[in-house]
Formats: sequence, C-alpha cells, structure tokens
Amino acid sequence: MLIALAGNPNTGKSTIFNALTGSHQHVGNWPGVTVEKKEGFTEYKGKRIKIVDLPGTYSLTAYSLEELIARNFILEEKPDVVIDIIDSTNLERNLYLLTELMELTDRIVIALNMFDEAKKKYRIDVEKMKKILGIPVVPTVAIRNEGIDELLKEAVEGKFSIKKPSYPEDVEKRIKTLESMLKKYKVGHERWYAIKLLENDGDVMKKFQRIGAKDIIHQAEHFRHEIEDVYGDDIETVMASFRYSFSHGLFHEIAEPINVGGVTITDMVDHVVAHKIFGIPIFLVVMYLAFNFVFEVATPFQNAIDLLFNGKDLANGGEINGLIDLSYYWMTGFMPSWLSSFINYGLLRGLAAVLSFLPIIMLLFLILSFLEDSGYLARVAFLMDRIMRKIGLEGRGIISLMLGLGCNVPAIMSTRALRNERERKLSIALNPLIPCGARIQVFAFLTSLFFARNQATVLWSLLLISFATVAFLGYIYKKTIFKGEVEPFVMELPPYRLPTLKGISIHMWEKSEGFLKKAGTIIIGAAGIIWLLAALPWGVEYGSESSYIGQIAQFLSPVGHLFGLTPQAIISLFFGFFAKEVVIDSFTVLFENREALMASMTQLQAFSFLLFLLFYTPCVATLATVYRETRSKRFVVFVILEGLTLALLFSFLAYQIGTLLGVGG
Amino acid sequence: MYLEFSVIYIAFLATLSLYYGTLEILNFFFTPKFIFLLSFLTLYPFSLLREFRFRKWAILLILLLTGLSFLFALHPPATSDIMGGFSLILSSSLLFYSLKDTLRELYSGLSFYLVGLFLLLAIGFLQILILLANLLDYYILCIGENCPPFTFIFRGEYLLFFLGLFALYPFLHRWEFRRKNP
Repeated sequence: MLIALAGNPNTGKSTIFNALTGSHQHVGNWPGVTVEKKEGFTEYKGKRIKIVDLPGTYSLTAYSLEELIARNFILEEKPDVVIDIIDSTNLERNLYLLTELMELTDRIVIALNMFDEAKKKYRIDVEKMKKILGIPVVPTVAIRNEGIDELLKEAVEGKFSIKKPSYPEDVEKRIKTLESMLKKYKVGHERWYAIKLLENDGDVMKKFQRIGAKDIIHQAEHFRHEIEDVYGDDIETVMASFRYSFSHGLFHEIAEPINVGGVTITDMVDHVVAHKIFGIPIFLVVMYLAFNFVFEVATPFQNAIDLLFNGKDLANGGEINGLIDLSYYWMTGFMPSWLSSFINYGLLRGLAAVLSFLPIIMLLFLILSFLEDSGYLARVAFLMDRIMRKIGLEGRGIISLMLGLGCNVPAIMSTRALRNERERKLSIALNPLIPCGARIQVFAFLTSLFFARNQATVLWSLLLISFATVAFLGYIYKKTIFKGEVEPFVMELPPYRLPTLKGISIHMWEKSEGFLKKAGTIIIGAAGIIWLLAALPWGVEYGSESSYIGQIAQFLSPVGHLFGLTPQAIISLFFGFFAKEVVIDSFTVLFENREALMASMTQLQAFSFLLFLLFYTPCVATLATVYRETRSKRFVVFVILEGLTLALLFSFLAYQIGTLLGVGG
Repeated sequence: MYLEFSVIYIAFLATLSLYYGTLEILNFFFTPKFIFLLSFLTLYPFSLLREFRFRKWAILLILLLTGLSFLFALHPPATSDIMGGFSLILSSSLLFYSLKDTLRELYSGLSFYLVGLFLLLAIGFLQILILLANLLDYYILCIGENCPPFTFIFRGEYLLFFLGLFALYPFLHRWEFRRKNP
C-alpha cells in the first residue's frame, strides 16, 4: 500500500511523517531535481505501508518544481491514499490545496494538525466536515503524537465517498464537454485534465501537444476565452476565485471563529449579512430596494416606448400619433384596411406592449446579475440554507428558485446542479411557484394601475406569499411525496467584489435575449390570435360582447364570480398559458385604454387576480422544460394541478375574506 | 478621538434614520405628533461615556448633534412608504447595534457599522436615482403638454445619503490599518 503526505509548508508534515515511519525512512532527491524526497515504511495490522512525503505546496499549479513533483506523483504513481495535512490554525488558507487535491484524487484523508492550538481560535465541527466532504477527517497534534494511530487507521480502513467541489454551471458545462472529449485519449483523471486545459496549464498543454490532441487544445482555448469574457478576468484568477469561494464556504460551514485576527472586508460583511437575526431582514430590504430600483427607474423608459408606439391624446384636444397609427395609415394605402389593422393593431401593438416592459426586464436582470456577481446571492443561499434545509432543500436549490425570479425555464434547468434526485424533483416541483420575470411584468403593469401608491409594497407582499408558500409546501413534500434528508454540501462563498460592467452586461444580455426571442415569436403570435378572436366574426364591433372573445368572456363569467375574477381577467389568464406576458396583451386588446381597465375591477378583485396569476399553471415553455428534465408526463400534470389548486385556493380566500371584511371593494 | 467622534456621529445618523423610517411608516396611517421625541436617542452615547477618553469634547458634540436632530425633526416630511420606512429602521438598528463594539474596537462593531452605513447609503442613493427618474418621466409625459412645474417632494433619505457620506470618510481614511488587523 502506498500513502502520500501532502500539505502546505510548515503544517507539521515532517513531524507526522516521522511519527508514522519512526526510524524506517530514507531521505534522497526526487529524480532529476534537487528537491528532497523522503520515503518510509510503517505497518498496520501486519500490512506493510510505504509512505512518501511530498514537497510542501500551497497549490498544484505548474509554476514551481515542488508543485509539479507533488501533482505528478499523484497522477503517475497513483497512491492508494493521500493524507492532506492541514494547519488547523490557518484553516481557511490550507483548504485551498484541499480543493485542488479533491480534483485530483478521490481517496483523501484530512489530518487537522495543531488541533489544540486551533481550538483557541475556532470551534471546528469535525463531524460536519466529514459529512460535507465525504472523506475521513482526523484531528491531530503531531508533536504530541496525538491522533496519529487514528490517522493511519482511517487511511487504511476509512470510507471514501468524496463530494468533489463544483464550479458555476456555465463553467461546469464546459468542463464536462472537455471531459467527454478526453475519453478517447485514455489519459485517466479526465476531470482534472479538463480543468487544467481550461486553465491553460503549461505542463498539461505540452503533454497534449505531444500526443497531437489539437481538437482538445482548440476547444479548451475557445472555452477559456468565453469564460474570461463572462467573468472579466484571466482564467487562472477566475478558476482560483472559484476554489477560494469553495474554501471560504467550507470554512464558514465547519468553523466558527472565537477570536479573529486579520479579518477582511468580506469577513466583516459576512458577519452581518449572514447574521442569525439581521441576515433575513437585510435580505428582504435588499430585495425591496432592488425591485424599487427596477420599477421606478424603468418607468420613464416605459413611458417613452409607449409614447413612441402608441402616441397620446393631448389635454388641448390634439394628439401625437405613435408608430402604430402612422404605420396603419401608411399600410392602408396599399393593402386592405383589415389586414393593416391586423398587422398594426394586432401584431405591432402586441409587440409594443411587450417592448414597453423591456426596461423592466433589463433592469431586473441587471440588478440580479449585480447581486450575483458581487457575491451577495451566494450569501443569500448560505443564509436561507439553514431555514430551507428544514423544508427539504439545500442551498443550491435555493439558487435555482431565485433564478426563477428571472425565468422558470433556465431555473428548472439549473436544478441539474443538485446531486440528489429527490432534491432535484422537489426543486422542480416548487420552481413554477416562484414568479418569473414575465409574471412580475404583469404584476408591475397591474399594480401600477390599481395600487399606484403602494406598488412596491404590493409586489413585495406577493413575493413574500410566494416564498412562504414554497417553504410550506417544501416542508409538506419533504414529509410526504419527496421524503428524505438533505445531503450536506459546501456553499461556495466568493469574496465580495465590485462586478465589472462587461460581466454584468453579458449576463444581463444572456438573460434578456430569451425574453426578446419570445417576444418575437410566441407573444406576437398570441397577440395575433387575440386580435382575431376580438375581431371575428366579421362585422362585429372589435372586442364587443358579440365577438368570439366577448362570447367566451360571457360563458366564463359565472366561474370567476367566486374568485372575484372578471370575464376579461379569465380570458387573459387563458392566454397567459402561452406566455405570461400575453396577459398584458390581452388586457390591452380587451380594453380601449387604461382607464377602462381600471374601472373593470376593484382593488380587491385586482389583488385576487394577482394571487391567481402568482400560482396558476406555468407557461408552455416551462411545462416543456419540466417534461424534458423529468421525462415524466405525470410530473407535468402534477405541476399543473399544484399551481391551479394553489391559485384557486389563494384567490378564493383573498376575495371572500376581503369581501367579508369590506376591504378594497 | 476620531473613533469616539465617529461613534457619536453614527448615533446621530441612526437616530435620524430611525426618525425618518418611523415617520414613513406612521404617515401611512395618521400624522404622528410626538415623533420628534425620537431625537433624544442622539444622546445614547452618554451611556457609553465611561469608555470615552475625550469626554468634554464628546459631551459637546453629543449635545450639538442632538440639537441638530431636533432641528431636522421640526420639518417632518409627509412621505409614506411602509417598506421604505422598514429599510431605514433596519439600517438604524444595525448602526445602533454597532456602537458599543465599535467603541471597543471590536471587529463585530466595525462590521455592523460598515453594513449599516452602506445600507443607508444604498437607500439614499436609490431614492436620488428615483428622483432623477421621476424628473425624466415628468419631461416625457409633458411632451406636447403645458405641465405645471415639477414638484420636488423631500424625503429623509436624501439628507441621510449626504450625511452618511461623512461617516464613510473616517472609515476609509483612518481605519485602514484596522481593516487588515482589527
């Protein structure tokens, strides 16, 4: 059996080596270099074990001889176990090498050396560390020979089910692609090589050039540039920052400082934003400020777009023609007026309604990207993790729920990052209950009309209802249909940084692009259908009771009565099935102007409608994604029924209780 | 001296933040009468006076700032905003919470000082941005119309933003060493 001792310099590695091998050791040089090599032997239950003391290093890059020797030994000699000797008094700094070792090998035993000294500085939860990392962890005090026997025992008999550190989804996706490409070269350690190729590691690049793997080198180079563009830094810094985030997150999970010296700004901010009492109120305020910023700052831009397309009636009786009117008059010159009306008042007005919400979408994604890139969202996940664990979800699940605030489609896709199938399904089941950007647009539209004075407060309360419902349902599901325990994990905590404009812009564009594509296809198509339903059969007044849409409205009228939903509101919900933004379209088609819409519902009815919209059936694209991710039609039906039941329940309760109390009538 | 004066100034800021926050919430329901009494909280550093080295100057500054908070309380804004008020109260709580430990030069106090202050600045900055957005909106909506002049509505957050900037100065310039090794 072969055991390698790795670790940072001055961690007591030699003391442990001496304690393990006694006088059975040999000191020489590593082949071809003048770096000292120490080998020795020990015995455990009659088994002869060779122990090699690797040079002390802080990382495993290709910059120094010591680092190259250490990593090449693990790659080529394939030791049965690597013991990572950690100076517990400098825990966080030492964890960086551990993350690199975890990329290189699955069989690691951690020796938390100088544990007696460390206890004066932190409270370290060894059991939690074992659970989180899935490898044996042994506290040692090498100078007093404490823990050495147990260390050897764990190295020989310990159980290894390592949970490797993962990178952000976009980086992980690229690593996986390179890993699969590497299989044909049969080099082993595919994940490690993929990461090193991405990092442009000189030694690894030379190796692949030697074997003529041009395709891999080219692909890695392409991926590297993409990652550098998104994260606005060179690849080595970016990848190192991910590892530091992991180390920092792990440190926060397992150690609680007693007397901290040398704290950074990140530590100081974390001390408050992850505080047991203040953490959640701070999160709520940050979200409120974010939404307030989005809606208030977007308003002038929305009004400008509205003016550009729709023009306006002036107080002096005059009017300013918008693009839609101008285009209608122009087209009527060379095509039938019904066709011009369909194109302009159907399709173009639909597009205009959606485009007027582009400022909101862009600002929303801008602020979400800012919070994500600054490192705050990771803290939110960390903070909420303690609570959400009780309802069956871990931190990464929370991130996917938060992504749902942008769009449920990528949010559901991001549940792939969850390693546990139970948690993944639970997260998918809960995700559609988080209001996506499109629903938020509709909320913004309606709250600006019905709750102009308290727009942000109403919106914030809707979000709170959504989060509380997700929490409650999660708890119920955990106890019933998705039974099981949450796996321990490390929540990466990157240091706080000021995001780059380029990085935020790229993230913002990536997210807004989907919205624009949807606006160009589904939404315009739906707007056309709505126009046809409002204009047919031929000869009826547009949108009147005799039109198809009017007839549907009358038919559905009794159904909505219990929930305070007007026939027009029901129709808009029906069209919202295509895409939630279409709800706005249908309102703009069904009502001549905003005043008419405002007169159609009381505040209570509007709130009941908003609650219905908050939960009811997700859009077609989301349902398709649920199916793609679960491959289960039953699961899709479950998601539809779950949303509908909640929508009916909340809407009914709000309307009936409100009516009883005489609120918002 | 710098640290002690900053603590007194932060108590003043926290008091104002609490005052404006409470006012924004209460305005939603009724017009509060005795809310100016909150200005007395600026006197809070008196309870820490034993730990001050420059007591005479500290007493003078506390009294001066208490007078100033009463002066601001004479002109209560009429804005009502429940969540906006809650944000200010939270920021005020963080700042009050930071005082004792900041004075004792403990990193916990500085952490609350830093986050409370940044939160206050963020709230103020946001309100200034919103004011600019409203101004832009006013000009867009007035295209082709004869609009009355733009009405500026004072919010406590504007004042707190500029007062907060002063509290940032000592942190950036005098406690640089402490950030590395508090």
